[in-house]
Amino acid sequence: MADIASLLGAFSEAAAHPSKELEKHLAAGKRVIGVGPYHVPEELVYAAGAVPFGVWGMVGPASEAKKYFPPFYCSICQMTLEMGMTGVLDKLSGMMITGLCDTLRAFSQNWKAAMGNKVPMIYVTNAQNRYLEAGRTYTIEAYTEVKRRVEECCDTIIDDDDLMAAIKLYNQWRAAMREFVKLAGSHPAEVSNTARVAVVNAGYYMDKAEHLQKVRELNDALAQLPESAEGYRKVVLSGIYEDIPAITSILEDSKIAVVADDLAKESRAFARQVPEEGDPIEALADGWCSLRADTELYDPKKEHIDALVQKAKDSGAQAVIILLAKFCDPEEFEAPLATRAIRDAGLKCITVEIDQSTESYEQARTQVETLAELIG
Amino acid sequence: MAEKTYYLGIDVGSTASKCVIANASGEIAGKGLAGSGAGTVGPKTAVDAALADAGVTMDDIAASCATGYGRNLMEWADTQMSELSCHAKGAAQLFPGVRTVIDIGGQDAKVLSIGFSGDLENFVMNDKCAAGTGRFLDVMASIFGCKVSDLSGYDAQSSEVAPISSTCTVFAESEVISKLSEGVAIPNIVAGIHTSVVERTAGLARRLGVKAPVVMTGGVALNERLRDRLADKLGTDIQTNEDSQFIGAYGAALHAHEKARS
Repeated sequence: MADIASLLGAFSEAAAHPSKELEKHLAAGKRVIGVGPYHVPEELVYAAGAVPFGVWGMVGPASEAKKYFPPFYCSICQMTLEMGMTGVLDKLSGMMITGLCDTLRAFSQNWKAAMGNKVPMIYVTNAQNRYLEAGRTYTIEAYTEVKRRVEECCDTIIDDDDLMAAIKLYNQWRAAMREFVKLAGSHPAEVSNTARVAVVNAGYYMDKAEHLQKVRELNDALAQLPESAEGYRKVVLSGIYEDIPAITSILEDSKIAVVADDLAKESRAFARQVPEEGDPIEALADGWCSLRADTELYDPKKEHIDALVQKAKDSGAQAVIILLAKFCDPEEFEAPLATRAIRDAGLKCITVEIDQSTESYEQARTQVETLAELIG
Repeated sequence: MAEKTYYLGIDVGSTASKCVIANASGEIAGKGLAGSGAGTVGPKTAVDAALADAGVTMDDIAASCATGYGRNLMEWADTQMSELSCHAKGAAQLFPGVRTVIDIGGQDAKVLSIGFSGDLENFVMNDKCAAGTGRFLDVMASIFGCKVSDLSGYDAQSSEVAPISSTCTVFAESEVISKLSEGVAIPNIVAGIHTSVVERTAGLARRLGVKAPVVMTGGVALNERLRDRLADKLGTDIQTNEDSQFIGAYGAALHAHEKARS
């Protein structure tokens, strides 16, 4: 059986040094395409023989990007553009940006203006009307255009068989990540919050097949062990992301086990399953159209809120912590409704505002510690 | 050796340090206040003052608990507890039956929901912003060159409310300076400042739901006009007492007491 500590060490190394992973891919003669948030058909990149590389900003202050954004703007977008403008992403052959929300749409235009052809943008349009046949048709056409742009950036032609093989690999990877989230929640003594985040983040930088193999080894090793959640406070995290070191550390200090999550960078991203037959572009579109219960997606009946409450109940959570990404309109609009529904279900709920440019989280510490005192 | 029968609670806030010594019956035996908070000599000054007020020394202290932003710096304390839990405990002891506690602290505002048993049930805190906090009032008082304790008196002389932004301390400061230059009377501007704090606090309170009886804790609770305006806004009486600033420290002392006896 693989050694859990050494496996986690490998994930931490990859997560802490994305540039080393990038160099590794380039040294292997592969092109690398940046992939922004989220629900991006990155299988197309994999099928082109290139490496999809997650770019979700970074923790730090924005300076150059301020030229394009007002202060009240999503820090993921600000910091991603900052990375682009300061040369951190120069070795990428393209950058996939979606138009899932108003903020991302404006960001895509700022990327074009700031970066020009230095790192060309591959704009990913996803039809928000996923329930309609017209939405499916639109997405198929949009993904066909994305395929063309990926081919252009990678100077290759994507073969249907390669694309279906990539779809199968990604389905396996997402299933393994769903399993990992469960196992990490039931084994907090072995997988700290820091380690949990590292496993997830490594998946954004490593080759998917390599990451999948390691995650499976880790899952097998964890499944052999008895659960270790006794003495931990069981919490579900909701929001866009959690990987702010100060926040992770606050959660750990309060002995909080993340028994499940509803984070865009984590479980929401692992939710998609793509059909493994028929035309692969249509399959990718069907995978997108089947998505439900997600704050950033058109959800007229707010099914996401019920799904969140159900997830908290099913996972045996005592509370939900909404990590509210600052200036994220869809999340901010939904947070009051979600808070009420969670509390109505008899669970505790707090909202902690996070931002990649914020340095001090003392108020968050007070909130989390008080929550920990409340749930015992 | 004599039995140790006193319990120390210290609330190290962002702008002040408060210490309370409770006796074996859980009553306040002494208290000390220092006008500086975390990372300063304030905590030591407050502890020395409280011990002197109670007529005891550290040798008489059976257990201690630190709360407030600087709680984790108080390594000598037996336990640390969040100020929200401590304000709830202190308020529930001093005001039996309290259901809502509003605490406007130096750099944040909190609203606590208290259960019938006197335990903290739920809470909300303001966003990471000085607007609507004690710091906001400090900044405003400094513009007028007065003490923050003088603001209530100014407001009492107001004839109308000069509206001030409740969104941002920095913007509000510019607004106040503009109004002064326009010749608006200081009492009316102060009324606007208080209204601004009230609007923000009421919004926070409504996110949690306000149940009477309501108690206000923290130093800002001593600002009578602001308290009255908040009561009007919420449509309910707001209780407090002269020890409002010490309620967090008192809750910490009670927690130390409880923990030592468990």
